[in-house]
Amino acid sequence: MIQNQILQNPIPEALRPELEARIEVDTYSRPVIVLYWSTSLFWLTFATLAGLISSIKLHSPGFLGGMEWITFGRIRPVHWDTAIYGFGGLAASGTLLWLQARLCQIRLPFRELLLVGCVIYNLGIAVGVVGILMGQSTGVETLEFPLYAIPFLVIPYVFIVIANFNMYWRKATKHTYVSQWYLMAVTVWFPILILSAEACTNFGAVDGVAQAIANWWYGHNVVGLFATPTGIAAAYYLIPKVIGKPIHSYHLSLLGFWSNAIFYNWAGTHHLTGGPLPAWTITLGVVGSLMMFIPVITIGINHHMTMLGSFHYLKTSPTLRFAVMGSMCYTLSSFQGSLEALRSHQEVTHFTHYTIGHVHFGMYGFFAPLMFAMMYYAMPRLTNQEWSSARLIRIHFWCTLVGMLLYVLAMCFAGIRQGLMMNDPSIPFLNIVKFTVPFLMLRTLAGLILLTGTIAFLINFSRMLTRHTFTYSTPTLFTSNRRWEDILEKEKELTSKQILDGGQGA
Amino acid sequence: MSEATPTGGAPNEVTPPNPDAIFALHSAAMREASEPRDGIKPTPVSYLIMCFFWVLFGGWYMGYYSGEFRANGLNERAVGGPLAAAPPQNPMVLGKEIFGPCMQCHQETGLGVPGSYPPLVGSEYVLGDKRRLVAILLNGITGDLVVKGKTYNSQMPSWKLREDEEIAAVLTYIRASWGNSADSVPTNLVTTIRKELGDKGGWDAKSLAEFAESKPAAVTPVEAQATK
Amino acid sequence: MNRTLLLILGIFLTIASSVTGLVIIPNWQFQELKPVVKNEGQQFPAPYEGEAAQGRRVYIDQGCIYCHTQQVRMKGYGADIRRGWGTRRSVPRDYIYDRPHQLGTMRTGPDLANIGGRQPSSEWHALHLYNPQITSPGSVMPRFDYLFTEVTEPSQLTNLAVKVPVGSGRVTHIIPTERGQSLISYLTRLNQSYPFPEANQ
Ligand code: HEC
Ligand code: HEC
Repeated sequence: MIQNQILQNPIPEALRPELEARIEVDTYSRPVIVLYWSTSLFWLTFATLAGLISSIKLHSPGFLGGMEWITFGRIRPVHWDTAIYGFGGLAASGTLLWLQARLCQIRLPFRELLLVGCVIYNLGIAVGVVGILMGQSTGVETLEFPLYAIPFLVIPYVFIVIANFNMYWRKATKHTYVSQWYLMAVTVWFPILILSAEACTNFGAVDGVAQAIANWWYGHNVVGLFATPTGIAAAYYLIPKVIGKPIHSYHLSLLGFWSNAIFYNWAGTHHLTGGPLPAWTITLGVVGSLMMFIPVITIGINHHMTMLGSFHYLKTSPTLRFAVMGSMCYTLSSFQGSLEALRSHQEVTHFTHYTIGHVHFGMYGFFAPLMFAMMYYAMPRLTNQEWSSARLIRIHFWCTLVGMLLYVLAMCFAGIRQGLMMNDPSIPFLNIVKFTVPFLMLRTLAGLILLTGTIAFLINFSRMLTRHTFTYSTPTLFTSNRRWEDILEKEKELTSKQILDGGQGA
Repeated sequence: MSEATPTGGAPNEVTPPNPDAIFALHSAAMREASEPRDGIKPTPVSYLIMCFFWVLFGGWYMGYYSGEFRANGLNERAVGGPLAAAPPQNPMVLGKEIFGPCMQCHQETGLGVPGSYPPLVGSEYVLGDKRRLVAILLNGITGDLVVKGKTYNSQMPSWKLREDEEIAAVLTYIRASWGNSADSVPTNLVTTIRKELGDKGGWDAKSLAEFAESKPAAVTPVEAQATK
Repeated sequence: MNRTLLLILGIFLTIASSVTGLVIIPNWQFQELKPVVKNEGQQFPAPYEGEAAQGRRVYIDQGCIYCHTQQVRMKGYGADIRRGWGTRRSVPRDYIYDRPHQLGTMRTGPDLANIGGRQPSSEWHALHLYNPQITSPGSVMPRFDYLFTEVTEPSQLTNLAVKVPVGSGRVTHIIPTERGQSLISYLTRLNQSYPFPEANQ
């Protein structure tokens, strides 16, 4: 429909430069972004499977037993590391490059370097995974990858940092949009984070408790200063973009950004509450977490007030639905996290499944949906094709939402009960273990639901990469009845000759 | 948006000679709104004031729970002075709590595990000589041990690091639970025996029996004093 | 351009401050922590050596940390001490030789900071690691049976062999492999019993 309109009505002269620039930027960055995102989805599937295996092992310890390389204590870190570095790192980097190129309105520089970097990075993760499975984990949580895998991760990231700075420096626009601040911040923070954490743990600069503090300073910040800012940047971009309204308030953006930058990186030590740490380090973590109310509420107001009055778009737009789910879960999971840091709360929930529930609320409720939203939005622009099936998107969305909620609720409830029971010394430990088992089974169910969603997304995504035969002229929306079967139908009609011609003619 | 109708890729349908064909191809990029902008809604001053007070609160909290910023200041609440001494507890309540870890071997029912862990119910060691019982708890015991006619051979850990009050309480508890009914074990008996044993290592059945027979006179008055 | 520099400088300063506050300062503070050395040359805590050090490596590569902590919380905060997981809270000095640290954040299983004092029997550990269901029916701890050789013939017995209760098929005894043995000696050595004065807070 739009296509026809465009063909019939000439483009207004005033709009031309913007449109031409947009198309040029997208066309140019296509190979890089598509590679980053498609490999990130590979790791997402991998991580989900690894998570599922660990989940099953936790309630049925005999599952896949007897194999040392896949014992719980190895597959569990593989799950988290591939989720955060594999899926998280690649999806966030793809998002970063695409958003920055678009917002700066210039072509992605160093394309070849970035492509090679992506390959190296993937190799690094594979090497790290094999290392852990072979028993060479460093034993430091979230930094399990053996030392020899680290250069594979850091060097490609340096390419991304260079590309990002380069674009920002040469940007064609006068104005800097709030998303860009976050993207700049990520590329400054992450290299410093990982290098200092590796220095403290793997190079052995410090021992014992000081190392534990450095470990959790990193462990929290890799989520807080890497995944979160990218997620927020995506939400800041997508929400106003899809509904076509400006973001609520520039001043709130400023307040949100700087308070986030100042407070978030102090919060890590709340992972060690009650441990053998000097009280001041833990208190610092608690204060950092409590202060997070300021950026979270500020950013929340900014996102939700922008949405206000436009909620009806949620009925149709897949991008918006994922984006709004992400930004709502950001608010909620951050509230949960701030309260969770309090000592009185930690007395019960620390060391229990509650923490695991919270992590997944943040990662699968906030970060992942925003990355999905980003892909739903950008992929049609990058590949000049529409999503092949609305139904698959619907499955993906509902599986993500329901699976995530089930997961979080089951784990948080079980965690609170588990913590209360653990604090009552007259309850034998094994009774607590047995109490959690049904909830662990629920978690496996939730994991299966999430996996279903991921597979639906994978199918839709890979159709886009493999089908260059024809395009739709209208976007795939939830209200459309575009189905997977249409495509198969269509395919039958076309002879291979036509497919070829069509592909070239398009 | 209207219903989607796939316009296929058949050559005759696409690309009439139009200079804007490039735009048509990028229909997705064409239909979007311009890049997002910032709105300029003002921030309520009251909100900023609230944020300010919240930060102030954070500063106060930091100072109050700082443990004086020492490397060894582990207790954030000890700043204002030492913790108040805990009030004395009912030995049966305290004892049940202390019994928690014993359950791992002697079970919640006190019946033990046949062949591995001896029962506490009806055991001559539990119900008999209190002095011997305290000695078992303080130093632990290994090797063959006959309890209620059955021989056990495993390791009972030492509980030396527990407070005297706690050891007395758990013994009082096991002597009066699951149908056992013997009198309580006083705290000062534990204190005395602990002194008597000094640095002595774990028992075996033989050395324990020797110890039990060598009843020093000094202990009796303590026991008498406690039971009156 | 000026604004760009300001942005990057600000971003850099935020992270630099927390590196200083949470990485550099604590490390500097902890330099003053020294082990206690008794007259007889005994040291608390003592560095891990030989078998125990090797066992610690096995503990790490098997990922015990994902289910077990090694830290006892103070009296009145949680029930760690009342559960018998320790007799005093853990203090930074307990860990000065821990590299990498294994404090842990998850208690699917009990705390292990004092497991050596609580469960001194190597046979128990062997049986438990070989198959937790033998000693703790209903446990969700995985089997680490690959750390043991199973014995079915009396001729294979050595003095390290541990008798397995009936119901394990043809297996009558298990013998810990070198790694299994070192893990067990690491576990039985885990003990935070020395009463550091700072633990009385
Ligand atoms: C690690 C397992 C274990 C734990 C924990 C344990 N015990 Fe024992 N206990 C044993 C074993 C084994 C024996 C028998 C010793 C032998 O065979 O030499 C025993 C013997 C005893 C005996 C003497 C024999 C009898 O049955 O009367 C008493 C009394 C006793 N334990 C009390 C306790 C109390 C009280 C606690 C908790 C504070 C406790 N035990 C914790 C394993 C344990
Ligand atoms: C899947 C989680 C899990 C993993 C991984 C795990 N454990 Fe356990 N562990 C448990 C649970 C649950 C218990 C409590 C029930 C029991 O005694 O088996 C336990 C109990 C124990 C105990 C007994 C503690 C006590 O107080 O009685 C020891 C010792 C132990 N584990 C050592 C290890 C070692 C060593 C490893 C690594 C080689 C390990 N565990 C890995 C879950 C786990």
